[in-house]
Amino acid sequence: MFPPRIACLDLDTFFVSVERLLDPSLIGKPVVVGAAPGHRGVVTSASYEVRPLGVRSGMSVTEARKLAPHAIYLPTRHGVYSGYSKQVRAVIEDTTPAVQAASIDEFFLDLRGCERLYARPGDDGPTVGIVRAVRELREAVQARVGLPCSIGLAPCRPLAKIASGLAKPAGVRVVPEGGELAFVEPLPVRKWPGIGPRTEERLVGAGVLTLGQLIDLPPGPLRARFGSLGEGVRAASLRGPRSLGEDRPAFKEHDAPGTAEGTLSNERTFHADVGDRQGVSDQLRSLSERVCWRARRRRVTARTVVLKLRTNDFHTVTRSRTLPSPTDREDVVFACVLGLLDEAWSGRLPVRLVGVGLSQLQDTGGQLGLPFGQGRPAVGRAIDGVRDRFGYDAIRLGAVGEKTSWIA
Amino acid sequence: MDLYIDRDELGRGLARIQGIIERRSTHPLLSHVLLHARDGGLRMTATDTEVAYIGDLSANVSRPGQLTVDAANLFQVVRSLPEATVQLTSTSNKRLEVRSGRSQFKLPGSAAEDFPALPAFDARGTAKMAEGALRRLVEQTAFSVATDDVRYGLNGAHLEEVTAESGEKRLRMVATDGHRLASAEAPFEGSLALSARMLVPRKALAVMRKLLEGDEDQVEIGFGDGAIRLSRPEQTFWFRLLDGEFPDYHAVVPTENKHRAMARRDELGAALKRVGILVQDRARAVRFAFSETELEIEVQNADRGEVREVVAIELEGAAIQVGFNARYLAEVIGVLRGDRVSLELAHPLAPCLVRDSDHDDAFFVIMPMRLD
Repeated sequence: MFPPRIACLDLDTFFVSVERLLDPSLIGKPVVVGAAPGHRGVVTSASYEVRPLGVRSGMSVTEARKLAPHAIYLPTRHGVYSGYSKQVRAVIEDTTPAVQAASIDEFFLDLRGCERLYARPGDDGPTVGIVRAVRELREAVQARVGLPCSIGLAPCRPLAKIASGLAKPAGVRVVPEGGELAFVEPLPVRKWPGIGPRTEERLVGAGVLTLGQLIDLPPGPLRARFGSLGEGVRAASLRGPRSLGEDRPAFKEHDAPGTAEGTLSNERTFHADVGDRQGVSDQLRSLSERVCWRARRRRVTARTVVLKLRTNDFHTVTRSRTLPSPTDREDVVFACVLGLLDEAWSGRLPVRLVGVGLSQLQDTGGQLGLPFGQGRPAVGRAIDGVRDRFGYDAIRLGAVGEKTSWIA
Repeated sequence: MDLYIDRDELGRGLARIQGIIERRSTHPLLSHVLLHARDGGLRMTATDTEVAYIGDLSANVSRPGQLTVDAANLFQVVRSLPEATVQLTSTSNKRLEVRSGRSQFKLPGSAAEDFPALPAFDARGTAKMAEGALRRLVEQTAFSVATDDVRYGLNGAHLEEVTAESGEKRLRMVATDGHRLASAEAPFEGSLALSARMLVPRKALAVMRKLLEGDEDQVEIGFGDGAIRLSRPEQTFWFRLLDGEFPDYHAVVPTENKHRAMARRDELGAALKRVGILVQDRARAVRFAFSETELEIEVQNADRGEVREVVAIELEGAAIQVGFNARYLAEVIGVLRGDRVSLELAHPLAPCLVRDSDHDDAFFVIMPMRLD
């Protein structure tokens, strides 16, 4: 059991709301933000007044005009909206420091550890204070920035996301601890993030209309066809990501714990080709760090380290080396990668792309290493902890140059 | 060379060197034993150039001489001989004739001059210790030494001098593979000429375990430059040390442990043994749930079945659930001696200290696994 502490704050009809803030005469009128007049493009935001007509963000403006010919069509003004997004973020940060922007109008918040801050005498349990804080946050965004938003608060990320959608407009929806399945079951299948129009069509065609039906498929051909999807929905409802560090579903699935099949790799194309070894090795250090972090999350160690290098003549070289024993440590991987770099790169041509890969993966089953005081592991674990909760980019190593120790 | 020797004496002597000779070496004579018949007996020498052994066997020598033969081959032959007495004779064409009763073998050999040079050894200091005590140090730590780890300093056992609470001077041996750590110590006399970066390699540990047969007999430990020599009556064994940096292991020995469980060693050991039947996959965490009076060990493994064991314990501190590689714990329980063992840790992801309630001369640290 996990109490609801993950919130998804979604700004209602964000671009439309900003346009209305800038021009109050638009309030109450049907507004569609999308391509400039006479241009082709897609709807980026549609006000609630036009939604009953079938206008949705993502559809072409031409199609929207057919459905809602009398609406006011405004061009998407790039550069205007992000300032409001930043203002919203600043308001959120007054509630919790653990914020992650999922997009310009969607934020995830982690409220774990804030219970005592928001508790008041007489509260029936710590969740009461958290729910109150979330309601106050919604009002504060409206009052301080002038934008309506909706918030879903749930024990895990996918449910928080769904709840924020159900809370619209301008509402708060809470999924209580233990109420995860009861919340999910009556919903149409399309509400689940990751079930798109195609899958919906297949499910509905087979008579599976709600997430509850999908989770609880009777044995037989339907379960054979959709059972694993249902199991995934069920598992994610009950044990979905409880922190901001979990990556988007596709990425997470890719790095599922204990998956020893395949390889892990990260690569990077330079904005401008790099000709000096230091520049290349700095990038390799950062890639080694990232790929090892992913290995640890996936609970695997790797026997083989791969370097990929593409010079500006588009010639690509890969070099690999097998280690005497498997590792998930960036210092070991980086040292190996530097050795491979010497073999692979003469330095005559500038480098366009570098990549670091790990293969011959082995499942560690979550075995932890002894926290030897010197060097990476102890600090590394702390860094991994921060990244698991706040995302990879929440913290960066400050190592400069090859000779510097891995962590000061 | 011509001599008579007791078959079993020769067999024991050859058994001791089987772990030293290098069967897969590129140098063919590293798989050989050098036989040297001289006044008073037969001397056997074996080496892989990192580890060297010299053992003297009593034999009735009528003609001195030297010859090398394949050690594994000779061992198999000697073990199969029909009579209790064996005659070894070298022929002019570098062959060794082995006769016993009515059986006669002729084994190809090589000249003694072709035998590889032995590693040099100059003692800087010596200490003495009971053979059984030194063997215990090896037995209690060798299983935790890493195998071919990229962290070179984990591939051997570390030695250091410590002073016990009683004021007794002890030699401590420590080994870790990065997931678990074992430390054992025993009293010695004399001086340990230890220096940093001296690690006993795996192979030397395996050989020591085999050669240290006695209990109270004293073994002399000589410390040389990057090498250690062990001398016991009729046998000398020395080996090169690994030049690697052992990590600062003190940092991983937990001191502030809020949870402390005491269990009977035999009960816990037996339960772990049964659990081990289902846990073939070392990457699988076994759930250990400690409550006030019981430790519940549980494995859920769809393929091989499920097992649940309950062991009586006394727990200080709150109930706690921890995942462990059950084999790591079983190996530690297997080398402890007291009736009761204690498991102590601060939280489910912190290192767990395992000790014996009756002996202060060994401790073990096991890192948990994540459960979920």
